[in-house]
Amino acid sequence: MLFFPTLITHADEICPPGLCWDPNLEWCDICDEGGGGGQSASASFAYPAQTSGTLSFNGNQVVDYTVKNNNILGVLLTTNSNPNIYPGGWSVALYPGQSSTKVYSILKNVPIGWVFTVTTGSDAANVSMSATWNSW
Amino acid sequence: MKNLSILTIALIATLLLSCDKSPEKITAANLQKIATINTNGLTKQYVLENRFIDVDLDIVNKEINDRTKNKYQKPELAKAKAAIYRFYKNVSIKDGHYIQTIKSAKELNISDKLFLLFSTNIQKMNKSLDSLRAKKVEVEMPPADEKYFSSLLN
Repeated sequence: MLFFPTLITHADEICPPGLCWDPNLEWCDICDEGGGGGQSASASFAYPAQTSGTLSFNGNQVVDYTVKNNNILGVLLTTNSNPNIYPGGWSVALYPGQSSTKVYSILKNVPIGWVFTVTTGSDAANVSMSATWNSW
Repeated sequence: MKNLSILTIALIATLLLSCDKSPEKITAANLQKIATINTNGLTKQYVLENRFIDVDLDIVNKEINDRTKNKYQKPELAKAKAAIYRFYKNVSIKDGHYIQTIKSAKELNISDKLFLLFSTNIQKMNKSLDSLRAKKVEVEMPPADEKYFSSLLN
């Protein structure tokens, strides 16, 4: 399994510098060196401790964005992005431990400063957000 | 007398230092050490053996938020996942709502507390889905397929 260098820029980061969140193992693991291949970024969101979670990074034109519900209860999530790809946001209902991925793409000069903001309509949420893209 | 006082202070200081159980920092070496611990398959065991399941929600919460341990080192979360597996195997999606076919905790051999927690969550999710749709918001509902259930067990 490959782990790519993370470009975490927010205070709600999951892993300490030099470590990357592995959604399969559900823990922070040693990042792969990458070598110009795939890149990734991750962040977490816990409601009500936080009102929203933000994942931001400089990425490519096509980004696979994944949200994973880490809680033992189902959750409703809405993600708004900048650049805004899905007007009104992408809303998804997730079972406990379930994840869902959406492709975000835009034709612009790289790097693109992607910002994903996730909010919830549920009473509680513990969510990890991650994104992967290819280097340009 | 003065020497005795110094010795006593030194002894207390030594005892205090030896009792310092501050959490280990995450380093590459520590991760390698953690990776060698194998408690794989605990959730699967609970599901297959159909053992009675109750979980301490406070411990589960702590385990969920503990980023220094992988999922194989979280026994209470493993139990919770087994309960989720049993419960959600009996939940389907129909007309944009979650339908729960099980009526009691006994049928799943889980605690009443857990059953109530899951059932209430299903009801609240359905209400939230309705209120979002009333605002013309489209909500995706990925089905619980075999990939999802095996991810709970692994």
